[in-house]
Amino acid sequence: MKRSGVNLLDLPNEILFNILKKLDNTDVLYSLFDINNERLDNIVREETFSNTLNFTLTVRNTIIIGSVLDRFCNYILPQIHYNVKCLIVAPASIERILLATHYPNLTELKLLDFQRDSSLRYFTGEQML
Amino acid sequence: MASTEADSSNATTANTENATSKIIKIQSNDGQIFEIDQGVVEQSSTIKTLSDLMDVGEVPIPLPNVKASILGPIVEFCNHHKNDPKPEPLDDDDDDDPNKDIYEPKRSDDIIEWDQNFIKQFTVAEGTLFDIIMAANYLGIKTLLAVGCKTIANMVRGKSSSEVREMFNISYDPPGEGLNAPNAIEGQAGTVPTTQDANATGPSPQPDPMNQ
Repeated sequence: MKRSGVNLLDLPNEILFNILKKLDNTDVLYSLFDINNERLDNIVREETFSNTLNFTLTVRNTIIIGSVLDRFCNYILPQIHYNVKCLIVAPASIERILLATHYPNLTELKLLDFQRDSSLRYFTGEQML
Repeated sequence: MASTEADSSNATTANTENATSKIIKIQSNDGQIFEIDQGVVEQSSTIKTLSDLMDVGEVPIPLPNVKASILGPIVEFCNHHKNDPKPEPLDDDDDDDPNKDIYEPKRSDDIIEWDQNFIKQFTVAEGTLFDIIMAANYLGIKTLLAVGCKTIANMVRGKSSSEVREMFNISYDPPGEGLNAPNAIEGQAGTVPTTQDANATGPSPQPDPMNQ
């Protein structure tokens, strides 16, 4: 098949933003962070794509899987933590995400499926995060 | 009296029919001419503006940024959609809206079947998917632009960065340039060059001097 010279990076920034704004921030970061292209990397590091991170969204009915969480916790979050203002987490991943790095500008923490007995321990006593 | 009222009614009907059936011509950058009616014109803010500004008559409106192989399908798309109800204005930039349900994933899976089949004729490999998106942007056809952007978003979703790089043939920054430059980075977080040469190919552009 003939491959054209026209590709994704020929689109102006306004269109790239248009495309990426149709994705959840976690999708943008997972798929494009550190793709080793300066222009895309600059776009993805914009605050708008890391201000609010929702780790509870399901993708094709599959809860965020281990390898994806690994990439975020070990690599992505430590590099964009300054931008994070709001985290939305589920009980299964709250510990890993909150311990992955510090979040100096975090102002909102939202817990989905909060179970008082199992989740409260993170905020009191010896297991406080 | 009756004949006067009938004449007035007929004149009104004729005027309405003339408005909707008014045909203008547009011309691609490779010389092909397409005839479109007002229903198509209304969907393109660029063509509408040009037709309002120009006393076009029989002279085709030139569209220097669009070739015939793209403009033809665009006319087909607009003809298909010209009787659609006018959509409510969307504000994608509503991240600060306190009522926005941030628990809901962003939608790009709501492309109607006809549009899905339409966009399938344009591919990443041939570059035509990006051609149609840029043409829709240039012509100000928001519905088509949305379809194109959603299509690419759907292709990216769930893919790793290596898969995205392969899918879109994204070039690495060469050694010593871009992210691999000796003085690359950390301070570039939050900065984005606001202008890009859309025709640029090959190595990634030099860092924006305004952001150094």
